[in-house]
Amino acid sequence: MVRETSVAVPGADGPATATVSGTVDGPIGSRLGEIIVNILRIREMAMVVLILFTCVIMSIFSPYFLSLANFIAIARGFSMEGVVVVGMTMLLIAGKFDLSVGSVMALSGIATAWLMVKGHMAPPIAVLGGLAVGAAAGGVNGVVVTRIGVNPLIATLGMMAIARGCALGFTSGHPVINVPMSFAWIGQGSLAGMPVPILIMVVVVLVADVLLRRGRALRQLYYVGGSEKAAKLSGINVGRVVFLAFVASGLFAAMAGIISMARLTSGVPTAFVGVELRIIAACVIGGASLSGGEGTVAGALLGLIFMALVTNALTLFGVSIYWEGVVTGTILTTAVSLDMISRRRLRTS
Amino acid sequence: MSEVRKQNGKSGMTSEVEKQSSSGVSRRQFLAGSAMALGAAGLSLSAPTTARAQSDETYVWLGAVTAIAFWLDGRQGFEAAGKALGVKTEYLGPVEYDAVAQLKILEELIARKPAGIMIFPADDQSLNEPLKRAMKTGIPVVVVNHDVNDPTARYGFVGPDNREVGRTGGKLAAKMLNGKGKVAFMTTTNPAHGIRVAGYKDVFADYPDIKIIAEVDEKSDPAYGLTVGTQLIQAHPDLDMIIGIDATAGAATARALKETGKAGKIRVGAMDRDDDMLPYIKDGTIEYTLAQNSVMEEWVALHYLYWLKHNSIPAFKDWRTANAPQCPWVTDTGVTVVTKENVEYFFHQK
Amino acid sequence: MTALLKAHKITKAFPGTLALDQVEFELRPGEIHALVGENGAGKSTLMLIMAGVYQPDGGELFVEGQPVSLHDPHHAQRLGISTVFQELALAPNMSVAENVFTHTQPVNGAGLVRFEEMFEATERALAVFGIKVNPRVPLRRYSVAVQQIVEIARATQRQARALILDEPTSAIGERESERLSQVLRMLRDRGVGIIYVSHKLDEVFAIADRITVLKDGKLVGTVRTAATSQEAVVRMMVGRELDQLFPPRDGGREDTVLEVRNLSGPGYTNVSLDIRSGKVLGVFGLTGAGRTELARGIFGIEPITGGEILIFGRPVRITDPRKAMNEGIAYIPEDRKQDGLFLEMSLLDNVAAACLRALSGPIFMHGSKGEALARDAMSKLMIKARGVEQRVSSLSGGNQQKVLFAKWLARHPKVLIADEPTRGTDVGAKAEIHTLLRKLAQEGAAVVMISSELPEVLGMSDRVAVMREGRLVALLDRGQATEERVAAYALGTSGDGAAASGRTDNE
Repeated sequence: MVRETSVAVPGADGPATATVSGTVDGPIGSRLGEIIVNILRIREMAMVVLILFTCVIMSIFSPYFLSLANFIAIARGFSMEGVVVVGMTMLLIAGKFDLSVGSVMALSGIATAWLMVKGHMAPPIAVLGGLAVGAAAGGVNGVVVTRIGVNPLIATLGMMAIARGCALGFTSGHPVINVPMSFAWIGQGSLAGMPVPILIMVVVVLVADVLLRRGRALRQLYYVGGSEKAAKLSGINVGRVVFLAFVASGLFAAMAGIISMARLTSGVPTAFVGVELRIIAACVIGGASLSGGEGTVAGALLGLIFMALVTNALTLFGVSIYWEGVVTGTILTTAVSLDMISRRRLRTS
Repeated sequence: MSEVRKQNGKSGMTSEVEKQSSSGVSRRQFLAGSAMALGAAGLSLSAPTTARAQSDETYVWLGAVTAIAFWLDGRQGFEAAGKALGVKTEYLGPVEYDAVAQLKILEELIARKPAGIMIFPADDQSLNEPLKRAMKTGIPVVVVNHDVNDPTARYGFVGPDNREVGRTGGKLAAKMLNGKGKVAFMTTTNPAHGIRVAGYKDVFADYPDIKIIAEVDEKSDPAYGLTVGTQLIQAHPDLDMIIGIDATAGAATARALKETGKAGKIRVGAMDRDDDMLPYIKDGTIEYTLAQNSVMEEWVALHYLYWLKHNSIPAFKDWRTANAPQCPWVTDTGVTVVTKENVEYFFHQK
Repeated sequence: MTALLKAHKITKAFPGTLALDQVEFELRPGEIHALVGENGAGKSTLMLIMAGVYQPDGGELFVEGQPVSLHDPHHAQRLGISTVFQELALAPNMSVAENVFTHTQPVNGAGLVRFEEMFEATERALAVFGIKVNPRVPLRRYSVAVQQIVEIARATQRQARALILDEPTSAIGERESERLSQVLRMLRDRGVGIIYVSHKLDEVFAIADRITVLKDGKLVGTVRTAATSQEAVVRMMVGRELDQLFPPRDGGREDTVLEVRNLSGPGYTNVSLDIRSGKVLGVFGLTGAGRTELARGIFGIEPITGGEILIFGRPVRITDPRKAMNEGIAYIPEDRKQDGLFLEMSLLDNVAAACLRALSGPIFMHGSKGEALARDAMSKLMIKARGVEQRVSSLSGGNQQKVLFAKWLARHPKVLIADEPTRGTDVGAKAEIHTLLRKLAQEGAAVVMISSELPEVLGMSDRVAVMREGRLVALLDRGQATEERVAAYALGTSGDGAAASGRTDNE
């Protein structure tokens, strides 16, 4: 993903001036128009349209697609990843990313299960323990990146191996079983007909999206991602902001890992391999940029929904398992390309 | 972590499984843990550990995806056989399904000249040449669990015939379905799993009323498997049976059925004997699983290596000069069918 | 009266250099205090120490009489010291409003930002500078000039007691500079102390109450503006008389090298011009007059929409910079940070960047050839660097500009277009660049110098082209080009003069 800045600003003066007058005096100069543009953020609308289009196509081809049960099944499927994208979006906005989320999910789930099963701890305390493991992993990532200056690719790749290694090492690869059924409610239960994991995801996503759009503290991530040096000169504590974003990423991964564990009623050390790339892909499809400064949680969630629909389509249409990769890869690249092209149009028109 | 001697090795496979001492488990846990720590430091590649002073002969098992629970049974058989024969055993290999890393370790291993090499190949093809070289320098080689594609690259193969595993499952499934129904496979792109699916299809070919309506990839991930399993059930509500082809698929399917309230309405067949899957056999969500006889597999394989090394089978003064390897060419260890009736003997932990 | 900000015996050393040596400086409330000196004199370092970016190795800082040690820019801000950095400290991805209110956004009880209130406040804050922008759109859509003003607005709206501005007018037009001066005087009258770092002595003398001069990391002296003259300050800065500011204008052989006929493109229309070897053509105009756009069109960065380009009478199609380079045209852009230099690479890599092929065999680079080229450039252009391997980002502004020149000179261009070649450089480096441009002309190159500084244009040019609103409005010979005439052409006749400058990013 190339950031558009270099393309967008032609000269030091001139064309940019035209953009200025165009925005102020143009047809969408009205207050209402601007509010609509700002709230809906054309970018995310494009994703919504794409998702609706996919739904229409799928409902034409499969009689089973358009049912509440199927939608709940799909939503349940991405509800854990929906929590993880929140942390990843924060990092991507700040121009960083975290490859260790899949491993941290597995490790936190195992830690929580182990504390309950082998440590005989009450579930709330065990959950706190699991979250602490995730936060610690994120904290180590944060320290290694901000204090020592290691590239996030290497730092989190290392953590990915370490967390996975701990998960396998402490269990010898065995799943941790006999998780109390009372605890399984978090992953399997329902409230007012809605599965608990989906409710948790909705709450986390809503709060995070509002705070990222309007919260003063989280807006700092955009400054850091826009220009780290400029943020520093503007008096933003860049190191702390990035560190906390890594901790958040670890925490959200742990949260998702614990909900997954409750849903599987066992801590599985080999689970969630490759989740990190799915998560990053969802964020980018939803408008985040690997070079930072852009992205919203709502967009990332839409990206995740789109990816879940693609998976669903594979099952519905019976695509050969050996060709799956070709289909998903093509669809994802096309989706992002279309989005890029439409954005370029919008800018130049 | 080079070798492990069991304190209370007993003969007989079932009793081994049954009475696995808790101290043994924790010891192994510790060993696996330190192996993983090493692996993590080298970003997923565990380097072979240097052998101790070569007072005794050492037999090495070079595996792949070494840290998963599946191999614990095999390691138990391997170590028990080592104890029974009075030799040292060593288990190593990459943590990932990494053929390149495995090849590298094999090269280093050949240079070390162990008494025998037992190998689970991460790739059918790439190990043939170095294995032949190892045999030429006098190191006996036996392949376990999944064969290489050139049978002259080893003296013997010990493990299940996956086609036959599939057929065993196929016959069970066909009987449960009374020869009629809609079936789906939860599998992965791993070649061994593809062969098992083919075995199932061999049997179903004789039953025109059994229709295979879907094959989905669950990527050996319990969470992802749960997602696609649920979607599979939504997409095909008229399914009669879902067959899990690898160790994670069965449990994932069972969970999906429970979540959607379809447990008992769709039959499930599973594979292997992971601890988080066995409870679903106990409660009837899963009808059967096909458990590999892993303890036996490695017990037998190490004995073959020992016999080859020591000319134990008295057919020749030295089989090498006669160029007649005294070791069964292919040993099919098969699978044991586990159902509600015998499932309690297959739990590893309580 | 207690000083707002006082530096006492401040010392700061960097590897290899003593940037500041026991410097004294004092800012009083209600004064504009200019800080001047050549590049490398230490004024940036002193400024960055007072802004909290650097920590001094020795000496003390006092804020309103209290000794302080500033950890970081945020700490300085909390103590009432706001800084406008020369390198724009902005987030281009974020809205204009969020750049004005970096972390002083108005929030409601739940800690959520009140965007509408912030947008209105931003409009008000920018209206003070006479510009009207949409506070909602990403800042990157606006020109460098607007960005600079946004940064100044940010510092002023913080209600700082001490305001530090580093080259605040380096990127903005005359009208905005005028507005800025008014705003600064207004702030001064309210008791704010302002440190004004600038290379433009005219500006300094127009606005400052006192001037402090640094040279080679040492304090030369602080003088009252009313009691000194520009010549005296220049003497303090360079330690010598700059008796002749511009090199003599004896040109080389005069031939028409490049000709444009009725050239049109984004930002300029119907421009006809001939560019001659041995001569310096000055191109003057206000910000937004289309000068840079014309240069970018000739160099093939932006496509032309009409007209033709001839080289030695032969029509050529220039569709991208590579083609322009092959025709012997070199273009040194205005924003050297963004367009011209690889800041994180070495001096050698930068100089070699434009002629890699000439420096390479079939596969490998000739290390020695490139090094010889870079060494040659260092000595010819008097680039002050530790060696050819030094990173360009660690060189001073003037030296960076020289590296950029060296990169293009290595290709021996027939036409050299330099866009604001002396922006952000000090008096000494300026003179060196002028000499260099003249020397290139004498050696037979056709030199085009785009500049916003009228004295520079008049002092350097053999001919002056004046642009306004995208059109070439005058082409004057050296004899005809007087300050009044050129300015009148650039602004338009008195009646529509306002309209002409109105295009300057104002609406």
